[in-house]
Amino acid sequence: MFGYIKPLEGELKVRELEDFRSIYCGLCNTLGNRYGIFSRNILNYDFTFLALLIGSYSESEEVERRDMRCIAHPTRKRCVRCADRSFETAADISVIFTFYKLKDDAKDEGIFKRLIARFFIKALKRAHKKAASLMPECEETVKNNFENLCVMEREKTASIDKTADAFANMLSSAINGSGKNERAARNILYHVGRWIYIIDAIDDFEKDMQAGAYNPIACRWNIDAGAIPEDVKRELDLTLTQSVAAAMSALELMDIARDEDLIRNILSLGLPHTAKRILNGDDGKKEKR
Amino acid sequence: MDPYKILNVSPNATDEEIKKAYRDLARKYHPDNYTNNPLSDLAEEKMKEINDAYDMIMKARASGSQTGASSYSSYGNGSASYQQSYGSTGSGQYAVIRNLIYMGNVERAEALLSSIQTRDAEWHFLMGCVYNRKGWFDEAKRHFETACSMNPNNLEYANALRRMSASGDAYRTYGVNNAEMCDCCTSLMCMRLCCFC
Repeated sequence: MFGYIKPLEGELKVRELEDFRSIYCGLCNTLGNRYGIFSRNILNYDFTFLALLIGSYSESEEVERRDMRCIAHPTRKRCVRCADRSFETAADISVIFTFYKLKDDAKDEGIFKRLIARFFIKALKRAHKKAASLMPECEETVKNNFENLCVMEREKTASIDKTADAFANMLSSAINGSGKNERAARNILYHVGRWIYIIDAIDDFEKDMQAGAYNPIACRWNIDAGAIPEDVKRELDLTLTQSVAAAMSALELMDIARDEDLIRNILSLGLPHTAKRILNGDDGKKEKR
Repeated sequence: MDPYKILNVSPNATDEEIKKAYRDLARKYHPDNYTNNPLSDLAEEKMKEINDAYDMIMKARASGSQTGASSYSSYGNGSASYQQSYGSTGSGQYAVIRNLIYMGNVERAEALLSSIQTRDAEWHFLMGCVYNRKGWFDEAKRHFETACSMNPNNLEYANALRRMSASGDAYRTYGVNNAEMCDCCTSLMCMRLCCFC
């Protein structure tokens, strides 16, 4: 379900791409320091975006960087952005999110996947306990919404918005507070969450059809088998674009101290690019990280 | 508060440059772009800031140079026109719901709508507005479509649906290999213009 939110690298400045990579490594590093080396496995682009967005308005413009080696890349030193509060928050949420996602996987994926999920749940148990005590509200929202999602999937809800709402609520629970920036950032996360859920449903469509599993798009448009028809693709394209546009107009209202161009790239270029790729059926799995 | 900073121009900028910067910002934060949006109050604040900054600069320049720079009539906050569009039609319960949506209380509006048994075109239109505000764009479109098919002569419904569908065409303008790539933000903003109902 994760790993779709990334920049369109070709349109970034070299400096911005470096920033993005240093945030990615920074979050990985924070995860390792806070939750042990195993938790580094849960890192992905979506959580990186979370750290990027939270840090963009809540932290100061100056960032500290360090060159470090890590297990995944032992030969060359990487530029890593030093952890601040935004990284810690993003790390806590990543753990909570992944924990419930795995619990969900352990229920309904194939036998092999189920076993892997169970193994990961065991390995993440202690990390999750710590994260839940640090972010009790987020824990509560994520837990409840995964349950809601489960019920809706069982009932074969014929709406992409109702199901996506549960997922979007989870993501937006990452940000508390009623200030201007917090409200706008929460709104961005809601729209991005909706976008992720729908993109994931498109990506999994054929697999779900073959397995006879629930897919919100199939239920919404009454499709029994095969691929997504062209006219439905157009509808999906439209609705995804509207989420991106809504996220962009929320971004315009924020006072951003750093990484603004990077966030703009991700929302206005990265998301449409990924959507286009997945709607056209290109194999994007390889690109996921 | 530095008005030049707000308009993102240099203090040495010409009147024309300032006017242009002001117009661009005003277009970006115009209330129409944030109609039926939970963040509309923030956009209004921003708009006020921009208006004040522009007035301040123009006033200072007029008194300084004595050239009597023609004061550019600043954009209003647009509230009056909302009220018109939201309060024009509908009776009884629907008028109450329209007002609730206008005030931003969509939870209450949704609850009231759910309690109504006879679901006519107006019902579907208002439900579409509620969903649009929540960011449930597919449901919103569905309800606007139903409203239009039940009452094809209603201009308000037709407009809401047209705006919704139009944003799909704008999407094509920012394809990845397109030369107008750098203009994507503008097109997204235009799209946003099309999204309100």
